[in-house]
Amino acid sequence: SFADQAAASAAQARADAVAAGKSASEAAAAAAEAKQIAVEKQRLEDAATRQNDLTNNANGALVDDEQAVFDQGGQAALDEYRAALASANKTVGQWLVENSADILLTLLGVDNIVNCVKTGDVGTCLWALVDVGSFAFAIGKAPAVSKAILKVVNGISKFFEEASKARKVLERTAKTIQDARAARRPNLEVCEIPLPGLRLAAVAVPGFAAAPKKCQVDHVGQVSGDYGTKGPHLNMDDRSEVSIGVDKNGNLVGFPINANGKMPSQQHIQTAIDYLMSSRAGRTKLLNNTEGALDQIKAGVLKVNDPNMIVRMKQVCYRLRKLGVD
Amino acid sequence: MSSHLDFFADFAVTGTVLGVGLGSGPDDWPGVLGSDFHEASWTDRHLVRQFGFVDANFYDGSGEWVCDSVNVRPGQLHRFDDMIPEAIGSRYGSFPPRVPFEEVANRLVSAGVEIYHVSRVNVASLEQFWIPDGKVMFSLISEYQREDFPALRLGDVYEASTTTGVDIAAEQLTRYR
Repeated sequence: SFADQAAASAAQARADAVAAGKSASEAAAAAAEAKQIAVEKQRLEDAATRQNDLTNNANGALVDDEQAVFDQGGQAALDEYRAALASANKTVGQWLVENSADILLTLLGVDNIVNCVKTGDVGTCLWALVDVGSFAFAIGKAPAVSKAILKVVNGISKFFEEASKARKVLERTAKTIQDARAARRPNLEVCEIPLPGLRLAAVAVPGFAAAPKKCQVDHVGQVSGDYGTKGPHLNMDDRSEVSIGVDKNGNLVGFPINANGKMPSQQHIQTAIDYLMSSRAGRTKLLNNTEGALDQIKAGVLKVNDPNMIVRMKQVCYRLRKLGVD
Repeated sequence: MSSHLDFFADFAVTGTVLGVGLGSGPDDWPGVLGSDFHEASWTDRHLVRQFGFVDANFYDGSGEWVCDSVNVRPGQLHRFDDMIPEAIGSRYGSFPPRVPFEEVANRLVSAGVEIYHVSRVNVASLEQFWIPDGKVMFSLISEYQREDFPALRLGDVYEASTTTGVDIAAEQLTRYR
């Protein structure tokens, strides 16, 4: 499972750090780093899947997992997958309600019913549980209870068989779905935040290159045709990009831009912000570029679709000036 | 055989990449540039399909994705060696890591295409040249950017782009060649 992978990554990172002669605190930091990267990877994957599913549902299109099953096996496989998903998700309680046997839920509780099914002689077991002298039974419920027990005896085995078949179908399609999700996952590159005291040992994270390098800003984003869409941004060394904004407290913040198939990691985003906080020259370049973009928008040379982007550019310029520029 | 200069000249004159350009839909592009692209959204109602150094941007202003900007980014060629889509490489051959604008301009002038210099509105701006035929803007490395791009030289093309709604006033333009 993902949790196992994250834990294994953390344990491996800790062991590597100890083997490399690092202190306990450094080893702990390495483990935390590895776990964070694994968590980040999963978060991005889940977010991408959720976003696609929302979009597709809104458009009446197949959600991502369904598309993967369809691509692999066609309509028949998709129908089987959908039916399996519905069967596997159905509870005993739902089955009882659908089959007009829900009176047993009130009388016996779902756990007792499930336990009776496990005995192999569900009818005898259920009748043994029914208190025939009870008030409920006495006020005319006996025919309904009898009928419900008969339905359970005749039908619940089939329900469990179908659920078992459904789980097998889902197990069979799981790899197809996992492979498709992995293919959609934005690339994340492992790197270290280049600050003294935060240099970590090499970490092994499933799906990532083993040896981390330092995160780096390649250059401050230039005012080209997409500046009106991206806004102020920094181009990172791994071809990912970090968009810059200002939060409600007036602090510079970074947002990931999925560019060139690369999504910046949290370390890249932190590196971008650290760069701007520590580099007067960097702040000056970003300020000049962003003011240049505003000038170009005003001159009609650069297009911007979202008026909020102009506000954001101005906020970033204001904050950069406050932090100090040349 | 066509060369990379023909690619930029074709884009400058037509505003299209292998025949697709502004006004097209997202599905018009893979058929021309192939299915190897990255898709992303950078703001609300924005979609971009990135085919190596070609970005096709779409805007959904009325319930339909419409291409409103095409950006070609030769300024990235020196950083990565996988930026040329196969369909473009097949037609135009290999691309060098730098594309001096003067070489593109020579090709355009020999074809009778007019080139205009866009007056700078900010010292940090890239140097810009406008090709009215295809409504394409060439943005070049200027003195201000040289420090950030040591692999590029003054006058190298950083980006060529065409965008709907970009309106450049006549007083901003000076005939260059």
